[in-house]
Amino acid sequence: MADDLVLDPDIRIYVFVPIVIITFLVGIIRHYVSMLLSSQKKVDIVQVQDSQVMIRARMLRENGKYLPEQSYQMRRAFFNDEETGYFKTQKRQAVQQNPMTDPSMMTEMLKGNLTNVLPMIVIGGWINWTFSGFVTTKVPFPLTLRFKPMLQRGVELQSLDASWVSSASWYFLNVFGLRSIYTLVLGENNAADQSRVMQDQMSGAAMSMPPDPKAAFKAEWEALECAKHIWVLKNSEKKLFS
Amino acid sequence: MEPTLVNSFQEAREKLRKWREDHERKSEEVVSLWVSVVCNNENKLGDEKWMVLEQVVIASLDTHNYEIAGDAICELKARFPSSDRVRYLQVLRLHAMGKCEEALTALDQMITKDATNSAAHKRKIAILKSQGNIPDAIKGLVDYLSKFMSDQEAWSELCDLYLSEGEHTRAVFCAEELILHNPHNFFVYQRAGDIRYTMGGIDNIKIAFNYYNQALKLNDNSMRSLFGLFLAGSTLTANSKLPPPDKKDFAKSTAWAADEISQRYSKQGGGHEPVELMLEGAMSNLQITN
Repeated sequence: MADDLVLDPDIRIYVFVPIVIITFLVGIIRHYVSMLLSSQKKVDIVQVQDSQVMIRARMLRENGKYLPEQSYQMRRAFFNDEETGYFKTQKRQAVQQNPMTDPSMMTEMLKGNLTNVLPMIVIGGWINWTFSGFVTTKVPFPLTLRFKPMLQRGVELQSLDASWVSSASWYFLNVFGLRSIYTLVLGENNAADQSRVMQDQMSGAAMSMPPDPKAAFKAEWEALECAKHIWVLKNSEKKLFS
Repeated sequence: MEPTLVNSFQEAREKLRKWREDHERKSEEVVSLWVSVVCNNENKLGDEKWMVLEQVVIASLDTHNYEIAGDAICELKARFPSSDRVRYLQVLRLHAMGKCEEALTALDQMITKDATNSAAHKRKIAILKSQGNIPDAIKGLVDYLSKFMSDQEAWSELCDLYLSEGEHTRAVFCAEELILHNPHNFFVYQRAGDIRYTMGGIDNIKIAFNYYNQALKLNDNSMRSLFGLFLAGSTLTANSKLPPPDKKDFAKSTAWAADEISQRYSKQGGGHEPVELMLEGAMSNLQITN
């Protein structure tokens, strides 16, 4: 019975396509607004120094096997030595990631919320209100009955297949689906990319360093302590003809 | 007349963009393109104009056209009055015209304003070096590297500065730092091998031998590494303090290197006198006897 359901073609013209256009245009507007509102990220010299040190320590671990023993130990001592080593002597403040106490992070969060979450909710609600009372489209895969109340707002039919969804769910589908089109139109790094924003919010405000340099230093120190040095180039004169 | 002008403007614009993106420094061509075609059609460039202006400034400083550079900088400054990037171009112009003191003062201001500006730091060191003030340049560079430890260009420069002062131990430290960052590039091994060989002493020459070996493995067209291998090997073979089995290995490698060298030279042409004899004579003059 569900397969026999035929929708009014007017739905296609007046609902389906307008929702796509609305989502697309709102995304572009969001991109430009966030570009106007964005502030330059100030990087601290200490942070730059720390990130460079991490790179150098990692290089030492990975490629140290190409250096003779003494050179390797010299560098390792520079990092790990008890009294003078970089990882031991550099005291860093444990950075507070609490958004409430850090005013600059607060404004960042506010701006992020304003440009991304708020429009989504507002427009989602408006679409739900305007285009309510009918199903918009059918998703091509079967869904369980659990999804019915979520995807079929406004259409309270007991016997309707859960694959038929309302306009609000079509809107949300668009929000995530148009991501690749934004990349095509706006180039990489565009601010209309919702899912990237959500990822950023989850990983925290990591600028050029992981938020806690102390932990990173400790990890690097341990790694260097454990790493053994074998000079790969040693005895290469024997290997030349063997 | 009109259509050909338009064509060449488009072509010029394309060429400039390509050079900008590939970081090619074709200074003379850039200046000639600018003077002949682009400068009369500046407004057609749109937003690209500022990047082209920057490109033109650097190119004209390379070719000593200070007026062109000055005009371009004026335009940039009018558009971006408080930009660090424009200030940096002004410093470049001062340096190119020889006004080093002013350039240094301006750079100091830029550094106090933003300590993470690595270009400003490096330009300061370059000015000190061009004034011949190597010890200060070295000091500045060491300080820079204590903050920006992974800057390979800086390590390479420091290596050169130490070599010019004759500080081989420190130079070899820098060279090995570069190995850490580029372990699959034959050139870093070759340079480190050269410095180790110059330092002398059995251990260093052994290490130099291994470096040359690695350089050859990575690029077997490198004649310099081949010569280095030959020299290091023959010095070690001639040395009496090594145990005989090691000496045999070194002797084998030296003989192989000598063969390779003579083969390659004879392939190149010439072939008048036995190349081996000539080489051996030349090589014995280069050897370090201790």
